[in-house]
Amino acid sequence: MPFPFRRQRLQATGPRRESTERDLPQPPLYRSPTFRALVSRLGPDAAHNILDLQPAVGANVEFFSRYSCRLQIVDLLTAIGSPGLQVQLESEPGAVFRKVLPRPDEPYDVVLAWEAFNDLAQGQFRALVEHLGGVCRAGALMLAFIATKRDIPLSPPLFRIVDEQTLEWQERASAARPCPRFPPALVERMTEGFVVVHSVLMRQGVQEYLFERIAEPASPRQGRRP
Amino acid sequence: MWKKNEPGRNERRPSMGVMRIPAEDQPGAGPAAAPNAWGGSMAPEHTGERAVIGASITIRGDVTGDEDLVIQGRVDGKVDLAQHNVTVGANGRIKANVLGRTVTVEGEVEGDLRADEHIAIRKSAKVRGNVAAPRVTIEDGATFQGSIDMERKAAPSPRPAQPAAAPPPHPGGTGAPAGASPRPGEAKHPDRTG
Repeated sequence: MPFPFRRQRLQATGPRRESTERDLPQPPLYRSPTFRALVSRLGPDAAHNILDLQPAVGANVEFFSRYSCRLQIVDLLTAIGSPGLQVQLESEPGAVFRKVLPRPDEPYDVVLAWEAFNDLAQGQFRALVEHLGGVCRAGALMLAFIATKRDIPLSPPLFRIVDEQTLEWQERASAARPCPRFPPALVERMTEGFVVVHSVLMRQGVQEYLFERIAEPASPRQGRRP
Repeated sequence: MWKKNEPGRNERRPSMGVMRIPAEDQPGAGPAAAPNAWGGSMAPEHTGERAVIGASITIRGDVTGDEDLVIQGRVDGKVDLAQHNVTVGANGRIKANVLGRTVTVEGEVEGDLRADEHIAIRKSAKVRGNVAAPRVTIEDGATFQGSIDMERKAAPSPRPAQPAAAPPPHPGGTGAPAGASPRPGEAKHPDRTG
């Protein structure tokens, strides 16, 4: 298993022997320098308004509970996957994102996009970024993993936070589909309103990005600062 | 219609659709008072027992009370049991805001949940709404859509370290006392030497 994936190995004592039962497969652990960079910028005493675009994961809720935050969870890909919205997504992606991601009372400080962008076409990618820019405050951080390999799973994996720099990467679908493979230059063009503050190309075919919102959102209300 | 604990017991009529444990079964309670369809002041002292809304019960309105509550039926309205534990059982279907000391969800809730201590969303739960509590736990497998407001009780903010008080001028001018040296860029006290 290539770095940084490491499977948890069961402790064994004594001479090597035939295993009488198969080791249960463990989701691989994933060391994410970009997630670590994000966490390092979260002040422990400040309140944060966080938008998580993957399904609710108990461990992630537990992790962010130490930050006295408000965590908005929207399983984006399930939300836009309904037949009616799928049709509208082709022609009016901005309207779809406005529907499934309503404007919050206070702008977001952090957006956890995980691998959501890999399931979007270029126009949808831009529309999502534009919408997120409008609901984030200046200085907000957005974490995104852009796949660079040829094929990706039909459903994006689930990321479970283990600690400040370690994620558990849980596959949800074994079937694969072609990956859009957005190159870095294109990603930067499609993320207007954001600037890349941290980016790492990982060996397993993922380019990690940490973006920062650089302009004030349209809302006149000021967001909470970390 | 109502879920009965034992047949033939002298049960008071439930108020607001909530089944109460018979008064004579509650230790320390006096004789059961005359039944009142609306409960009112006839409620016995709270003794730690809990009420159950059975799976076949549908309530449209507000549910309030002074004891723990397990909801296995349907409630459309509001559930306000601020000092007590509220459990939405696996068969519970709630379209209401729920307020409790702790709230545990195993069924379906469409509404906001608020607790003074803890909200637990079990793996069989489906919750759509906003959740607010000092501590929130979600089991893997639960379906959740909404916001989770986890307010940490603000620790008393530590007093900012008092800056070293400007030392009183020393008559002998023997130099500043320890810890009172001027900070970089700060003008020296006219009476200081060195």
